[in-house]
Amino acid sequence: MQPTASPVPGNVIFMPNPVQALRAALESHGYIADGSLACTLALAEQLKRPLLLEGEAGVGKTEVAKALAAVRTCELVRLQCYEGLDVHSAVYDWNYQRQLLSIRVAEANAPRDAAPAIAEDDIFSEGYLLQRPLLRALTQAVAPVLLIDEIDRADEEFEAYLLEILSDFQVSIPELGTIKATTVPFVILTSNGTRELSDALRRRCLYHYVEFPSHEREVQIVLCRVPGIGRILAGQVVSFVQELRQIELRKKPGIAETLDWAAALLGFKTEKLANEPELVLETLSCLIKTREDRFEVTPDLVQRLVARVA
Amino acid sequence: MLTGYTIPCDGLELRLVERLAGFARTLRNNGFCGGLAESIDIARVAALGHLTDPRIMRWQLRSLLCSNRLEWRSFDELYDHYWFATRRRTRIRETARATSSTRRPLQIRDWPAAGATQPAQAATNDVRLDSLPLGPGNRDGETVRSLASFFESAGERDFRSFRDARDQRALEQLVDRIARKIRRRLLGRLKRHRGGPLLDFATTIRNALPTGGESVRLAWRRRKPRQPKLVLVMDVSASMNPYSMLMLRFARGLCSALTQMRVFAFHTRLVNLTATLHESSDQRMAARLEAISAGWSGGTRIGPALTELVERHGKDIFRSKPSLIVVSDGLDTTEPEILVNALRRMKPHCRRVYWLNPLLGREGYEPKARGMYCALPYLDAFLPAHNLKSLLALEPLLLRC
Repeated sequence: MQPTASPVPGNVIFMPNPVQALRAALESHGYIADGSLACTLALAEQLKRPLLLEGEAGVGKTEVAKALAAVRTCELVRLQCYEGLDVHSAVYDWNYQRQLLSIRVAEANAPRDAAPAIAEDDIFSEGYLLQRPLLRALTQAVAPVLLIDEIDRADEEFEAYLLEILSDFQVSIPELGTIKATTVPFVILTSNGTRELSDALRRRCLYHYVEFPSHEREVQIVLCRVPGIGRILAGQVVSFVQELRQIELRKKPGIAETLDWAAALLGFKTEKLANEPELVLETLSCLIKTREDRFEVTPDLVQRLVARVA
Repeated sequence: MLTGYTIPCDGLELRLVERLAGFARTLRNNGFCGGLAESIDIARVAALGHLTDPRIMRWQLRSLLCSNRLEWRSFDELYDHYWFATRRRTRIRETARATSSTRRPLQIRDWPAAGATQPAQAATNDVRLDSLPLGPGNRDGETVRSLASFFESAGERDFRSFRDARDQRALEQLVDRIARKIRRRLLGRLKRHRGGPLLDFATTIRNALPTGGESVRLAWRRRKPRQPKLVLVMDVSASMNPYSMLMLRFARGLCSALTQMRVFAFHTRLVNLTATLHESSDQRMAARLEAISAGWSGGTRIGPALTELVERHGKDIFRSKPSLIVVSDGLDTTEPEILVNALRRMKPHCRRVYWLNPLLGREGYEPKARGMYCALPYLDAFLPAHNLKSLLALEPLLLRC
């Protein structure tokens, strides 16, 4: 459509809604996002700001990044944070063994009483640089999706360092100089809330709190991810899991658990939960992951839940 | 205020920009931590042209302006109030608030309020509260000063002598702070601790530069911080009433630093509080604690409780050789042999066994109760825990765990 040929009333330019477009694209790659999440993702893309995702374990935070990388057909660079993560395992390191070897080889090859034929600049050049996830994300030809997973597990010092990278998108290496980002990656940070993040980091980022999906959406997810499952069984499975989430469990079953369980039930050729209460009990290990919870979820309770969802 | 900036909002009318800025101001007045940068971002987002779709506009502003879960939860209400003002009375503030410090009588439900911080401040709070045992937890200076002087006057008073509700709350805040201080010391120790069997190759080579490439000085990688392993077992029976709530707060304070700490409570039976006290949200923890604590303040059966600890949880908790801390007045209603047996079984699996007895702070008290008396030979330390000073004195003991 030519904008000049068909003037739009007012000064609002008509364009296909990017939110809808992104949502459809995510769905085609197997991630069913709700409208607000798609909207946040589109916004992060437009503003080129990092996105901080919070939410309970198992609501699909990490999966967002994977789906997004698939949609953009770019690489997914993943940095898994842990206690004690430092610059050398997150950003860059020198390949010391190789450097040392080069020096020794140059020394051996050099004629007696002559300086070895290797310059210092050669030693500290890109060939000897080991790129760790953050540096790799900055030096890609196509802007990748950078997933910084469970940022709350990293130390506060690393968080401060990360802040610097996220604001300037450059890394300074003392021996080599500053490396500027060739492309600005799409940054997604996830947090489970084991530690309170700094305000500075929160303010740099867009924020989205990912909830457990609604019944309808979770059914969609199951139908999409577990091919061959019937709509009735999918509905019952989801209802059951959602009821289970209402109970005070130590580890609430996430979406991945729902999918596992649905696949397990499908494997046993179940059609309805009510038909096979025994099987429900036996396959419950897909959903319940701790001993206390197993204790909590009695056969009696399971029966009641099955009756309720049927 | 916004018109002075060159922002890409050509398509927007000035009136709308003002309205948007007003919205950002409203959020700030209600405790959101956004600044001017956020106001500019709003205008930029609005100029992207989704104003016609109210849902998208709401979602965009929400992810832009919220920065934590609490803000996320209250955003919708504020949004509706500002853009679709209704008549109904809401709790929304039109002007910035002064930090209020009015308090209600304490129940477990009131837990978050007694922390003396607004949720928005909670994050920064931890950093600002430095080594001072009574560092500012509250922005208004008066409360701090009065708490400090409260500590001066109340440091040596027995917990049970605080009858006034206001004193009680001040006391709880102080206990929180002491826990926080000890926690910081523990973490500080973990961070400062260096040395270990791993060679840091990179640094070693770097260190070798002055010696012409020969590694003379070796550098070691930082050893993974080892957390002190603690098992806290506390008595919540009726006789411990004045102390158990405070000890719970103390345990909660420690739990936030020591992820491996286990906490159990007992009266006539043993309750595992570990998951509850490690709950990250204060509200959820208070709710869970309230549910659990329904039948507390009954009789005391120390021996059977400790036996259950060994038999049911022993495999799990004693695997890593933890230090065991028992908080109880030692007034057992069962045969002392049961207690002694339990202690004898636990002793080899524990790094240290401590017993904190609030009665020990009273004048003229001697551990004459049979259970207590028989337990003494198994203890590495037998200490009072009846006032603030005695809690502070626990620090060196925890450092040795």
